[in-house]
Amino acid sequence: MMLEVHELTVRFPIERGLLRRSSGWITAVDDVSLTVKPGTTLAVVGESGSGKTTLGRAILRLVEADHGRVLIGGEDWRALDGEALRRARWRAQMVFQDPLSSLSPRRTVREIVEAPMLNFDQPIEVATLFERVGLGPELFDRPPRALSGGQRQRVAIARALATSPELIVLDEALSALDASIAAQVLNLLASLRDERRLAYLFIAHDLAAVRWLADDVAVMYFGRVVEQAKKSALFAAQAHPYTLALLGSIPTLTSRALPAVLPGEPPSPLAPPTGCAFHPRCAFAIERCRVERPALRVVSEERSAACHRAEEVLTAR
Amino acid sequence: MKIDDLVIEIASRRVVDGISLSIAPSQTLGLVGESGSGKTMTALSILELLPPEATVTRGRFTLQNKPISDRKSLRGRTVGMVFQEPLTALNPVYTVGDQIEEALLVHRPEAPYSEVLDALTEVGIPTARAADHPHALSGGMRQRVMIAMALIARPSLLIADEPTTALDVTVQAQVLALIARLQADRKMAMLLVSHDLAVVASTCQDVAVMYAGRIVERGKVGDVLARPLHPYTAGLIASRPENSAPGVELPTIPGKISAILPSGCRFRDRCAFATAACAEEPPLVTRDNGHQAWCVNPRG
Repeated sequence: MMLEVHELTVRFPIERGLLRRSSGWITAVDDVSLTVKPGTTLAVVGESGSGKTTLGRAILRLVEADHGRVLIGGEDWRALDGEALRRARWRAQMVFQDPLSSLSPRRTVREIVEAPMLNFDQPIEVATLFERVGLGPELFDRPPRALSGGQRQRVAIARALATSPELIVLDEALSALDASIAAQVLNLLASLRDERRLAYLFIAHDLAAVRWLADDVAVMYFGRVVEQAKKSALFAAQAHPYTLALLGSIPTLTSRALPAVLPGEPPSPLAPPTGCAFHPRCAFAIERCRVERPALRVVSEERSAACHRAEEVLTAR
Repeated sequence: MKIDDLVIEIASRRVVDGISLSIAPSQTLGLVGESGSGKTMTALSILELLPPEATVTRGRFTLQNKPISDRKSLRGRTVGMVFQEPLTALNPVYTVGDQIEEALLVHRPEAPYSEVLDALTEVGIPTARAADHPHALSGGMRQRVMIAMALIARPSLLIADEPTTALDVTVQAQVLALIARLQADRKMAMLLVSHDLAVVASTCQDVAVMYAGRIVERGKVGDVLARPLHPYTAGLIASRPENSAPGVELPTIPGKISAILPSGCRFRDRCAFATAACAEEPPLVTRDNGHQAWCVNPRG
């Protein structure tokens, strides 16, 4: 395994008043476990507030988790302290949604891509890297703002590749791009993964892109993984009612009807529902769902789901 | 509403270059295109909401066959508008009830506050939330408030500029269903500006595709999406990941919109079908079903 996450939990204090006294905790990522093999892509999907971005950040230690284990290339990532972590960071890189805010505005794109190489004694030809991601040499000495959105995202990918990483966390890396540009970047990501055996954690809300790029999919709702499956199994049928609703709400080119509506809103983290967090919006909810939180359990060879009625949901439709 | 030969310039560069549109009563027209296509500028010009650096240098706006002398006077009463990001369009220091009331009183100073609560109910927000400030609401609820404000004076046309782009997909489905219901109830026309062809497919009857300031193709949504005539539209559809088998290289449109546009067809520097003839202004091709494209070598 390139990435193994065991029972990862991230909590943030709720701060109130002038003294910013902590009056409780919000659990942003709740007991999440997952694995990614070299050369494969695990997509993490879910809505704003589902915890998918915090999960990616906690794995790379851009925020600190409360408990759980993270192994990257077999290395116990959360046990590394300052200097050891800095030296290990070449292994895992991140590409963010908005390259304009994640790339230094005062540097040229060449300096941006060279910077991570200086930390790690790994000679890489910048020109080769630029060529690989499809950037012409005329762009080398320009600042990021002089580039188009697609070119900036290619710079961000080149920077991530500069340390020859094993794992890349892609956090909504395509969301800010126009469709024709996003398709170019998707092709680039797939070919880089295949030629370098990169492991991707692909945090995304575009399910068409997920279906195209990913091998496995984890669906998050309210901080927890509610369904996890082989990509083909997940798109063929859904075992969690939230996954069912999520896939049903996507408009397509071929359907002229409005997509189905999932009623209600995600719960407030300040007042989490009892039992299953999805039960107030769930068409399958029964009394048990209000009192007993369902554990993520194996439903079939290719699928786990956190639903008391997963078997019935799978055969519903 | 009809727009003829609209030209919008920024620093003497034409960002919208001679486009014409018409929207029939209760019809929905989707205006699609990527960043820089001019679709948002077109929508903003209808109510004179263009940023200061942009000017309409040519064009005729007509409403029910009468020329419009003062487009600002249409705001709210005849034409309502919803924007992409409700958090920046709403005032953070006033409650949402007060903001809806303000929009109401501009048009009918005698209107009772109960109409504000009715408007909230109509968009599916509990009336108790009228006392909330915008930041206390979710993104979906804020967009519902914007819709309530845009529709409070019962306009006959709604302009929606990327109304669901900032929203999650399940919230998008809620907002699209709400807009469709209100539009049918009120027999209102809509101009939906979107970068998302699938959103247009599920909500619009007609579509116009813009590229680099010009309309390159238009027609019934079903015709345009199933049998696109213009290579740009065909390329946009083909590049969508759902139209390729997983892992099979996506067909892409090479390059990006160039800063210096080519003469003749503006897409020709990225077009796989371009010939020498494309350096001239592209001809209008019209099919029997009214499907139109400006192209020397139409597909389909």
